[in-house]
Amino acid sequence: MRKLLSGNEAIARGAYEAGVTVATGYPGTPSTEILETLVAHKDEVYCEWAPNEKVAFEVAAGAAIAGARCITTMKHVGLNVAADPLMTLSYIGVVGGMVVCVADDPGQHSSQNEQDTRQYARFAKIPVLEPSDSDEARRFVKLGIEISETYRVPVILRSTTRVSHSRSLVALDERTPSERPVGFEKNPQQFVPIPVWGRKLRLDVEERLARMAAAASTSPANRIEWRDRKLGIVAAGIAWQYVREVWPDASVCKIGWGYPFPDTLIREFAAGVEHLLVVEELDNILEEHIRSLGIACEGKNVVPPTGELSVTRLRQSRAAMEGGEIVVAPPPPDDLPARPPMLCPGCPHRGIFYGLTLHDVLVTGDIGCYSLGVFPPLNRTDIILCMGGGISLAHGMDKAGEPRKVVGIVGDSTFFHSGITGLLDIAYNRGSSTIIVVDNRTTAMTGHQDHPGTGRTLMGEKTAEVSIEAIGKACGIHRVTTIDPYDLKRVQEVLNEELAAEEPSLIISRAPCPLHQRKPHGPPRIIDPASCKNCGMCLKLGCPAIERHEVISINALLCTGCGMCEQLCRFNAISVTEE
Amino acid sequence: MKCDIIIAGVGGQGILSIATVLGRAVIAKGWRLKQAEVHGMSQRGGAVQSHVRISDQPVASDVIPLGGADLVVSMEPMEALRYLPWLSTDGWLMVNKTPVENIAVYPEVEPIYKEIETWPRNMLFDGEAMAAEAGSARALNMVMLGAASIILPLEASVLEAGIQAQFAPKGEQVVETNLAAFRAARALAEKRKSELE
Repeated sequence: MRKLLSGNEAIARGAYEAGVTVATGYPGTPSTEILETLVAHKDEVYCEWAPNEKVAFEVAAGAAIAGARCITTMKHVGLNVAADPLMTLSYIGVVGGMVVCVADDPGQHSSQNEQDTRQYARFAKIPVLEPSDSDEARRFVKLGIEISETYRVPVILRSTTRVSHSRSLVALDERTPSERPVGFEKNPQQFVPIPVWGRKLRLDVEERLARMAAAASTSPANRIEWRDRKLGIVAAGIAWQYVREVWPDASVCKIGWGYPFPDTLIREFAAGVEHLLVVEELDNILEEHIRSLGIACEGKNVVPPTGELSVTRLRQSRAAMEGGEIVVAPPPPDDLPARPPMLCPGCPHRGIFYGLTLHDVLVTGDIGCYSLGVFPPLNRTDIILCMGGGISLAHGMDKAGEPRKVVGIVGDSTFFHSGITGLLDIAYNRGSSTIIVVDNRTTAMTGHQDHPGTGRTLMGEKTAEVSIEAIGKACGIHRVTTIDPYDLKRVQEVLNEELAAEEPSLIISRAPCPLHQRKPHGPPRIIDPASCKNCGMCLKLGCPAIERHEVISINALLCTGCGMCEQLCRFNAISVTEE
Repeated sequence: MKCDIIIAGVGGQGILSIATVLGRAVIAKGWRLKQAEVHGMSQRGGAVQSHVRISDQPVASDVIPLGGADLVVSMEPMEALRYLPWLSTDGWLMVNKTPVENIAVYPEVEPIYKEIETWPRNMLFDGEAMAAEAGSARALNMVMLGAASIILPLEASVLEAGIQAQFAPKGEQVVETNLAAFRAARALAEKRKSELE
């Protein structure tokens, strides 16, 4: 049977077919939908959102060492968080197959940076598979499980935004459960890498690399497509698709299992063509390696080293190589107004950001919807580094002697992800920052996933609802206040009080995300043109539902009735719609 | 045979459903299809685009190169201009007239209409009114599919079967509304095509 599936749906299908029984992850675009799809098989596959990627990785590693087949999913920056267990799991290895699915985001469609996860495969000395469409994504998960069990090694499946989010036709297979019973077999020399045994494991890692490189050269994931031999192109992952379209006549060495490098295959291919080009998205990993083999090739001198590749961009590369005139296609018109992402109408975060506009403070922000507080008219995010970083950055600026008060803002899921340790540091090392957790009761930016504070698991079970207030107190923060961000007067009272405090304080701004609630906060508001003085006070909220043309009006379709604008209007011109 | 389509609009306008119906029809024909879009931050009121590539041969790139689209379907006038560089010179531009003004500085709409009408093969029409007449303004996406259907290499009956399958879970009334929307726009597009020829 053929089905139209996104790459992420196909990865989930591949995990199901491979007999995976444990699946973990932390939400992150473009990887999130893998677990959301796989959980439909929850009777056969245990699925969980872990508090962060490190935990997700470790849970999967534990399951794999116990003998289960498993998958863990994250976006590229998530693997930075999970890098510690990754590096040593490479040494101690797995028993049941383990695929680490990491979704890169070339072009930074929804990420703070661009990373090439293949670097991690080389760093940790483990295999990386790079699918080029949905059906290959499905098959490569199964291949990854097979390689993982054969060489007792975790295998990275590197997807990208384009692979994860594009739909193409997938052929479905049956599920093949593992025949290995779960049950840990004690073997300290393998699983306890104290230096005396770790040094031995270190040598095993090198020896394993050589065996895997030989296998990669004959794997069906890598193949040579002979066509015209004047030009040969080594193309990895989705770049292969673009190469097929831009150089339909060239011979191609298609790379799906890129590390350990399939040297034998690459040498055979290079020897069979007159001129060699390497096309890979982001870093020049293959190109550099091929040169190190003593093989001349072109690569990043003509292929863009940053951003997402495309047929359009590679046509320019081809023109550059052939010395012809480079036909640069006309760019999209730049005089059209963009539609940038913004805080939604009725977003509870707006109450906090608006409140902060009345104070001369610095705001260290974090990764989530509240990063949108950076845009005018709110302008209340000054720095963003990484997930959980909003809290520790505030403390660092504070200790450096920054003259202004520093406020750190994190979301609820982000707080559980890696904010708690920062808060612990502020309390322990006698900081004085004000930390605001904007708790909208969900992981909103990635499309509303549960987390330890929501009282519900990915499997849909009820569970303990972790209290952010209790964690704050347990960390040693004495000033802990909870507020309703829609009550602007109360927000201001609390900010006045807490920003003036000498000691650290924690404010929890609690109101559920209206998008997740799927119902309006209240009746839509309307502006009475007779009372409105056109002062623009309500516009300071930056609410997309409030429009100013000749006069200011509220778009009834967008308004969720949060009532913040009504509280700000000094002329009582805003009220509930008459019905 | 190949047909490359860009569907443009704003998050929440039902663009994905158009792609899904096309997917059903293509599978029924035994052809190939790739469909690409970007989620993430763009889902929050931002510009959304979906690339659909249909062929009887394997499709390579998910994304259509500049100048390669046979058709740009835009649910909204300004977004149509954004994707003009992707349209091939003999491609069709089909646009719904109603703007989505969820931004501070939406440009004057008349000059946008003019620019759309300078395109050799264009169809600018009030798709929202047509959808409302068919039974629901939400059926705008099937209106746009109906217009597009006149240049798709797929028979109307195959597309209608796709619509039926897509909306059946929502009840007979919804199916009927969407079929009516599709048929009305298809008839108008046929007329527009013969006018231009």
